[in-house]
Order: sequence, then structure tokens, then C-alpha cells
Amino acid sequence: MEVKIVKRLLKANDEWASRVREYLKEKNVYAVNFISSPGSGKTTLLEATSEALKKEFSLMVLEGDIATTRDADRISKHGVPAVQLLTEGSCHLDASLIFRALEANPLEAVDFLFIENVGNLVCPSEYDLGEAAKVALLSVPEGDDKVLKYPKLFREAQCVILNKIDLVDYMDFKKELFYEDMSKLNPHATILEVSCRTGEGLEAWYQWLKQKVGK
Amino acid sequence: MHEVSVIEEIVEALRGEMLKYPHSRLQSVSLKIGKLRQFVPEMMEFSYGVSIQDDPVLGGSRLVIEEIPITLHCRDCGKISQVEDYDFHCPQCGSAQVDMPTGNELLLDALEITEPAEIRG
Repeated sequence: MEVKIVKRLLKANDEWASRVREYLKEKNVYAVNFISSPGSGKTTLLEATSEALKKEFSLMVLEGDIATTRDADRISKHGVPAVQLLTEGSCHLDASLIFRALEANPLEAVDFLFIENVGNLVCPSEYDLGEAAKVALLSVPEGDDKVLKYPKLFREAQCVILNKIDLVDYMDFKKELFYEDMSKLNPHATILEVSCRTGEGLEAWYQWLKQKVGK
Repeated sequence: MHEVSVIEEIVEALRGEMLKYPHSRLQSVSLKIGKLRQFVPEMMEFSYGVSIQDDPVLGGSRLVIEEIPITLHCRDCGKISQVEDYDFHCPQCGSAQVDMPTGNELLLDALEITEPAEIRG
């Protein structure tokens, strides 16, 4: 006997994500979910962004990792509040973790909430965290072929940051292929070439964030 | 490894659902997964097999995964087309103003159940 069910899976996560989204809207906070491979420069980008924006804006950072408080420690040194979320083995953050973190650390007069996901191009893109925008990072040493290999993330990202652009002359990274794949998969995304090491392109990133909050 | 958490959710839902059919056994469960989702079928099947192996009602059942293709609905020309290569432009008119009616599903679709009379044979 066949029994038809048609039940949406991961629905519990989506419900938590809606609660997070409502809370952020009520508090007028713009939340960004940063997703990339390990080592592509998420924390370094957040350190630079913290330094650049902390005078003009109130920031808060949630750092997702499997273990250690290293990332939150790095952000805290810049005088920006950072909460470390440990997933204890899980390969992604989920929306219930975010909701609980916001309950424990209420957002008062915060402009931007930056959520650094666990380094992974696959699993985090399956979990809505209630963010306003997903930002994907890809670094030049990872290779020019990654966009179509991880289509869900690069399709859903509002902004794609190509980091470590200062290395492009030393690697076999064909920018044409990267741009061609992005224009196929997600022609509406903003693409920014940056180097967190040299500072190249970072101003455009800060401008992208500022226009999101109308400044 | 997000496959494991989804399998846990499925197994829990199946246990609840099967309470409605006392003395029956589950034969198979079918999922519909959109092509844009990133779930590895082999990992899903393996994880499912491990989760149900000792379960009196679910044990021995199969997980059947149907992949749902990506289709685009063009806001400019109104046509609906299937795409294979992750090119999110309307194949008819080239517009990038498209919605994706299918391809992002993650659904527990249906169960195949052996009823008590069939089990007694």
C-alpha cells in the first residue's frame, strides 16, 4: 500500500530561521552569513571589516567552528563583541544555534551581525540561518572551477568575494572561467575582487555593506 | 555530513507515521530531492541503513531517492524550461529574470507499506 506524505524536510530549521529573521527585523539589524572553505579568509575579512566599520557602526560577530575559540579571540582583539558557537563535530551552523546565541546576547543598537559559518562549501548552504544575505568567499588558491562545483552556494549568494587576488599571477586561476560560471549561475550577484592581505578591493566591500543599511 | 541529520529527521518522522499502521512494516520510503540540493544519495542510503537496521517496523526498508530537475520560469517570456548545466538563463529568450519552480525540493514524499495480512501471508 502506498501512503502519500509530502513532508518538507529541514522544516524545523526553517522555522527557527524565521524566528531569527523576525527578531533581526524588529531590532533593525542587517545579518550576513559568510560561507566558504576553510582557509579562504573569512576571519581575516571580518577582522579587516571590524577595523574599518567599528567607528561608524555597531557590530557583532558570531563565529561558527567545530572546536576552539580562536576565531572569536581574533575578532575580540579588534574591540568588536564576538561569540564563539561550537558545533562539536557538526559541519554547519543551524538556525536554532543562532536563535539561542541571540537570546543569550541580545542585540541592542547593533547595525550589522556577521555570522561566520563553519568552513565548508556544501553543508552550510543547506541551512537558512535567518540572514539577510549570504556572502560566499572563494580564494584564488582554491581554483577557478569551484563555482559550478558548488552551485547551491554560488547561486544563492548575493555577493561573492574573490579573495587573495594578489596571488592571481602566481596561480593557474583563470578569471575568465570564474566570471563565465558566475554569469551563468548567478548573474545578479555582486562580485568583488579583494586581497585582505594588501587591502586591495576592500573599500568596495565596505561600500556594499554600507548601502545595505542605507549609508 | 548534513545527510546524517536529515536521515535522523526522516527516521523520526517514519516512526511517527508508522504508528498509524499497527502491525504493518515499512517496505520503502521515497524522497524527492532537487538537483540544486547537495545530498549524496550513497551517503543518505548508508546512513539510513545504519539508522533502521534494528528497528522492528522500519528494518529492511529501502530509501528511494528521486532527483527533481531544475526548471526555470521566465518572467519575460513566460516559458517554463528544464536546464541541465546550471545556466540560470531562459533557454528560450536568454533572460536572466527567472524563477525556479523546481530543483530545490527536499521532501519526504511517500511510503510503501506492507499491511498485516500480507505479512502473515
